[in-house]
Amino acid sequence: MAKSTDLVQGTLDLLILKTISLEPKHGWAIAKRIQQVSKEVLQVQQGSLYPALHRLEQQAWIKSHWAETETGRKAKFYSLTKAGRTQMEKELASWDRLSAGINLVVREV
Amino acid sequence: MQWADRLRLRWSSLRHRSRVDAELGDELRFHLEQQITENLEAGLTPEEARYRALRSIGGIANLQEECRDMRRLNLMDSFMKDLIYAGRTLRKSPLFAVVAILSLGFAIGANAAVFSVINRLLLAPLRVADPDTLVAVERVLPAGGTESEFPVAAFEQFRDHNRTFSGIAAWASSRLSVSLNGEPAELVDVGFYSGDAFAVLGVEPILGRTFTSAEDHAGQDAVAVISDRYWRRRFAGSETVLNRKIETKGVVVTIIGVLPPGFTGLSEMTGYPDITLPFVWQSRFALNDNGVHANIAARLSKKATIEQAQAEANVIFSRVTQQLIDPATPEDRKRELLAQSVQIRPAGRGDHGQWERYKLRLAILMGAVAILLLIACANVANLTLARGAARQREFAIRYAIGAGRLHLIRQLLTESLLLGVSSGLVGLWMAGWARSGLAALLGTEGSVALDGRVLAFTTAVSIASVILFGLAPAVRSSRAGLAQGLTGRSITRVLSGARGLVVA
Repeated sequence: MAKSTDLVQGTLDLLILKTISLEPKHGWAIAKRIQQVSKEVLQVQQGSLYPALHRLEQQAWIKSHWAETETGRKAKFYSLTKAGRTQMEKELASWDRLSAGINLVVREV
Repeated sequence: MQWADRLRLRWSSLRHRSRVDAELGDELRFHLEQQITENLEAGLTPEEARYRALRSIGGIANLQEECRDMRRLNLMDSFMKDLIYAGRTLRKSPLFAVVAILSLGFAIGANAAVFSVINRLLLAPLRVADPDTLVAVERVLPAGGTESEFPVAAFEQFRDHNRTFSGIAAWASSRLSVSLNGEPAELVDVGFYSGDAFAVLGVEPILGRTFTSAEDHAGQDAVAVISDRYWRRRFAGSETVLNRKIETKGVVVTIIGVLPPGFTGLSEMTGYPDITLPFVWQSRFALNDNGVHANIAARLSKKATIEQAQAEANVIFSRVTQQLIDPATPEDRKRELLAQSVQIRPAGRGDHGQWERYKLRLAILMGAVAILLLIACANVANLTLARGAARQREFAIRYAIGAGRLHLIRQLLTESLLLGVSSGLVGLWMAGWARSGLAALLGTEGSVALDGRVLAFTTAVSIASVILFGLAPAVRSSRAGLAQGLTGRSITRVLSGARGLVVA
């Protein structure tokens, strides 16, 4: 039950949705991409990534299909649904509000 | 047979589960292999690469379990298990199952049957086009109550001066003795509809045509449309019915069309007409003492609301009443006439007339069957409690080997649910043949259908009864002496606790 404490609760969903919003990706690529883009600051643990993917799929925000990778291996690709895109916009807006608020407090003085 | 059923159920839940699990396995294996490849590229030995990858991924079984939870698979899975277990325990006591299902099923069936009649009289749409814009115009009497009949002059004023209706029709009904082919006369329900009534209602004949406004004038030949029911009864549904003649009160009437089976007239109190003539014939045929009159059905125009139509109709009606009053009328009667107002109500659903006539009987019946259902629930609750007492040992053992109290309650509720659903099915089947008898008993006309609303009602009643008879025994059984259950002493105590519930 090793849950990642590196990430603020709830932001993992947003990170996943944002990461696959441009093109479908498989689980490993999602983790790598988040790590890369954040310049190694954010490490997504598999123990939280896969349950999150399955939860998002259950909520119909993302959908999955099996396809071949560039190296010719079969992998499960996840892509954003229409409902998922709406959800992403919503979470983005609330993240902006939240982070702006936190910044205001911690950068004061 | 039992074994086959059990195996099939197991197999389907297993197959579903194994497919998802296999996909999950493949997905995680892919991730692992990617990680190993990356580790190898970073210059680790194969063993080290594999070891580190495995460590980073954590416990695979744990992860799979968590993903399954996310998909609510485990919930489904345990519900299926509960259901299978419930089926097995019910099969072990068939007498209990049969008695419970039959008594509950009978009660649910009675409720469904009575509700289907209420549904037909109160809620089901008339078989006319666009029933929701159809309205009826009525007089509200100063002494209370309503009256649907208007003087024909009032109808004509409404027809010529309203701006809130897109169509308006007058109709009346009567009974006439009608003879066919010179056979002895027969008393038949007859309707008189204004020439455009069928156009206003949007009712198309299934054979021939309906009459026109041109035929709704004095001096025209008498023509009539007949009901589907009359057509089948007297003409065996033959197409040669068109242009056949019937005779009533010395007038020869030509049949020009047959109405569709669903159309049972606008039957205010009168049942539905087997023969319908143009409205003008009412003055020639009607037996009515108070002379010619008109019931009024209208189509609300798209732009108008019921309130607007009602306000306008009141203006027209008070004007026409003043014109119609005979100057010789006594003063108090005059005041009474002028104190009348007009109300407009939706007429496209149910059968207002029959509802008014039967509502007391139906309310009593509904109350009676509701009490019947309560008694049945109490009885089944009793049976379940008694069974729960006999099953203390089983609960105690299950508790001892790790089932939580909530799980025991859930298990018992699943058994109740299985009973409830079976009873609901039995109830629907019973309602199916009870409703025709019930309709005959009440003397209501037309078919009483088991539609979606009746189905929804039956489902709701079944679920309510499951909660009613299942919850209390479940909570009680799971609580009563879990530890003593194993010693076998608690049975009498639980039974004495149940005595408070004995009803019948």
